[in-house]
Amino acid sequence: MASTFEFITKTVLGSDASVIDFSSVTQAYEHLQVRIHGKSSYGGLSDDARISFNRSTTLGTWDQQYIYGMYSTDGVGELFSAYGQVWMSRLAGNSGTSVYQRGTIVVTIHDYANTSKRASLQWYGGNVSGDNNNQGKQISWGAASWSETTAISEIRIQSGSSGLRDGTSVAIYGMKSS
Amino acid sequence: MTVGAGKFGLLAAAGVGGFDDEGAWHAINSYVCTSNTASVSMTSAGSEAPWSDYQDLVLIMVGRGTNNGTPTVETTFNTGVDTQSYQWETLHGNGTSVSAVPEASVDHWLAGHIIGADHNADYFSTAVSYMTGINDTSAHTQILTKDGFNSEESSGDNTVEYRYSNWDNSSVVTEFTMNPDGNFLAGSRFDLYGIKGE
Repeated sequence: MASTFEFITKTVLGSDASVIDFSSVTQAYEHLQVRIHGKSSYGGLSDDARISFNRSTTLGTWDQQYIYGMYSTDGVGELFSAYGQVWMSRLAGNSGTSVYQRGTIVVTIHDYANTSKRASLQWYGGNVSGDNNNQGKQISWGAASWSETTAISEIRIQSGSSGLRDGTSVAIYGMKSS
Repeated sequence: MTVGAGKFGLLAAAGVGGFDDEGAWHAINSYVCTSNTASVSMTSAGSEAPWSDYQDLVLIMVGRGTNNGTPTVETTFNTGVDTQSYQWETLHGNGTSVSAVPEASVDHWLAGHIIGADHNADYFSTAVSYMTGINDTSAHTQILTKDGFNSEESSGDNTVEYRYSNWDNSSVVTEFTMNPDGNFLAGSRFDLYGIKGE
């Protein structure tokens, strides 16, 4: 049986960078999985991670739903046509936390090469440190839709309030159908 | 019970079939309890490929316990070398309410909850745990776990959980041991997969 889950590419930052971009993403799979293991340059305990496609920053193109836990608080939320990227779980911040701390997010992008469907994705992830507060312990799971039907050829990963720290890694995998 | 690679591992080590090296998601270890079992361990050395070949591990647990209620499965890395070094955050739902539950500075992470002996027979819980960055010595190891069960009865024990755990240690992961509250019931199953990072 042929393999159905294949490694495509991976970037590990050797120094701080504003974003991680993947260009010319292969169209040879049915779905993509993006696995993020990262840290933000933001001067706090954590910072949200974001994903966008095809270098688009157009506001109002993403709708998303999510459920979250932040220390002892749980909740749900909706971001409707307000942002140019998907806001996902948090990366580790760069102040008040261990240099070894990372946030982890697994993102699945569905039927990404199909130009008759608006792109959709779901993610789950979090960042949990020994800090007992909302910024130190955060997890979330969510889904989002992009209003565009363009095939996804570029993927950008960034943090919300600052750049990405060295050591951040992002790996992309492709999933085939039968 | 420490799980070895068995004949397939030996064949793979000898380069004689038994292990398909295609793709990026490899089945590398598996164990089914043939009797009630106090704990189950998996090791890099006992797997069909060394864990150093992989970026992440995926554990699928299908379990049931000999104790009543919702026994937890406390799990440690590297023969429990660390104490007070695990943190986690959980989203917990039981059909009527949801809650966010933090935990700090304990000596284990949870590979999931399993169905207790007082629930309908032959129901087993499922849990999937992603252990990320197991060979990255510049970062801690994180574990993302989804688990839950419903045993066709009205019970507050029926649960679904999503949990993110952090092991405050950047050592290479070479072993983990799962210790349930009570024993794993015979038939409980554990499958381990490696995800390539290159």
